[in-house]
Amino acid sequence: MSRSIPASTVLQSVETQLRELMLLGLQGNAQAHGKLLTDLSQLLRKFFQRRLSYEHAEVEDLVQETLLAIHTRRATYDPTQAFTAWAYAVARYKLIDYLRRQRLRITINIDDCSELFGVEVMAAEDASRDVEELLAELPAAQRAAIQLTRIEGLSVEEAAARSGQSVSGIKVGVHRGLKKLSALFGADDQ
Amino acid sequence: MATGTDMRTDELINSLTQNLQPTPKDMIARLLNWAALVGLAIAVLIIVLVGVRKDLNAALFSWPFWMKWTYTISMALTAYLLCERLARPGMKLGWLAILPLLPAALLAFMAVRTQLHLPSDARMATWMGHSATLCPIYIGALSIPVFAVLCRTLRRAAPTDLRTAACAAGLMSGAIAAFAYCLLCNESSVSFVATWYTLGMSMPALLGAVFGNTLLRW
Repeated sequence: MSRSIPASTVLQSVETQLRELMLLGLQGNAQAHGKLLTDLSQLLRKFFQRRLSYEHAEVEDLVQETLLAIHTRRATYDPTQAFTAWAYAVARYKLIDYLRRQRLRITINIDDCSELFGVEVMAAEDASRDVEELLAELPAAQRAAIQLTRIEGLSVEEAAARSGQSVSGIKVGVHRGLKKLSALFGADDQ
Repeated sequence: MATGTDMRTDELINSLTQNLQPTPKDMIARLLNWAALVGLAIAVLIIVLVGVRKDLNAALFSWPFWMKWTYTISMALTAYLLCERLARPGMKLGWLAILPLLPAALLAFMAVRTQLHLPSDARMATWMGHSATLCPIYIGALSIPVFAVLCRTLRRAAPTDLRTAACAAGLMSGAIAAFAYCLLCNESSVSFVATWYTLGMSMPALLGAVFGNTLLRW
């Protein structure tokens, strides 16, 4: 069953090359079919990676699912049409199908996690209360410097204008205040 | 799905190329022909069980009977053509999409002409016949098993525009059902067929257009 691949197929455009491999595969040439699937798997990996920047395992799942579809449904390729357009349509269908499933799953997750989500909001509120308690330990000037720059997000200049301290005073205040906090509570000053 | 995350892609490719058989060029057409035949057989069987019209033998030589068969056959054929294309990934219909409208428009034109030649008090009776409300329901119901067979076949192919494909499959199953229904129905006016047959055939098409994404997912 496995005849060799004609040398002329090498170094042609992707379309011509893949199409030729496909036509040979449709005739039962296993070697050509294997090369086609291998070449396609690289193209498909790039195709899905570009569109799903996360989750390597998902990309590989999609590559395999698409390869399987291309293989089992290869009879749906019309040889008078472009092969890459056909393969692209299958890949696009599988991607949309995946995203649709994913969206369903995310929807379910959000519903399931509504309580957990509530807990997280509460935890965040707890954290901000903790920060205020910690800052209360600092001298007023350092507390203001940290409050304005790190929590309210002002620039050093703005914080200086607001608190009436000098720019270098704010810088020193932030530095010393964070150092003191980390010394007090053994935490990282990040 | 047979793929698992644990299976490597090159292993998958190896397993797929084992015992590779040549693929027939007209695979889609063969699948569709089979589906159409099975669907037609089911529809005809149901009609035979319900009971064909008593004057069937005589009707086979009458023009209304063949008008109805010509209409339903041409509808089925145009829908078949669309299905054959839509079963393939990425195929666009383009102007072919209006194909099923041609027999419908032609028959509608003939219906209007004959209606206008009738005396005005006979028009309503001719249009409604004696089974205007039953006919679309019969055709619609009869098309459901045919539609199921066609959907099953299309899922084995690779449609990517699921709604349009299911709509075409619905129209084809409606036309096959209507073809079988001709064996039972003894209505004979063009305006009746142009309206109520068309309505009956459109119902599964509408069903396909609405639920295509679920019906044809593969």
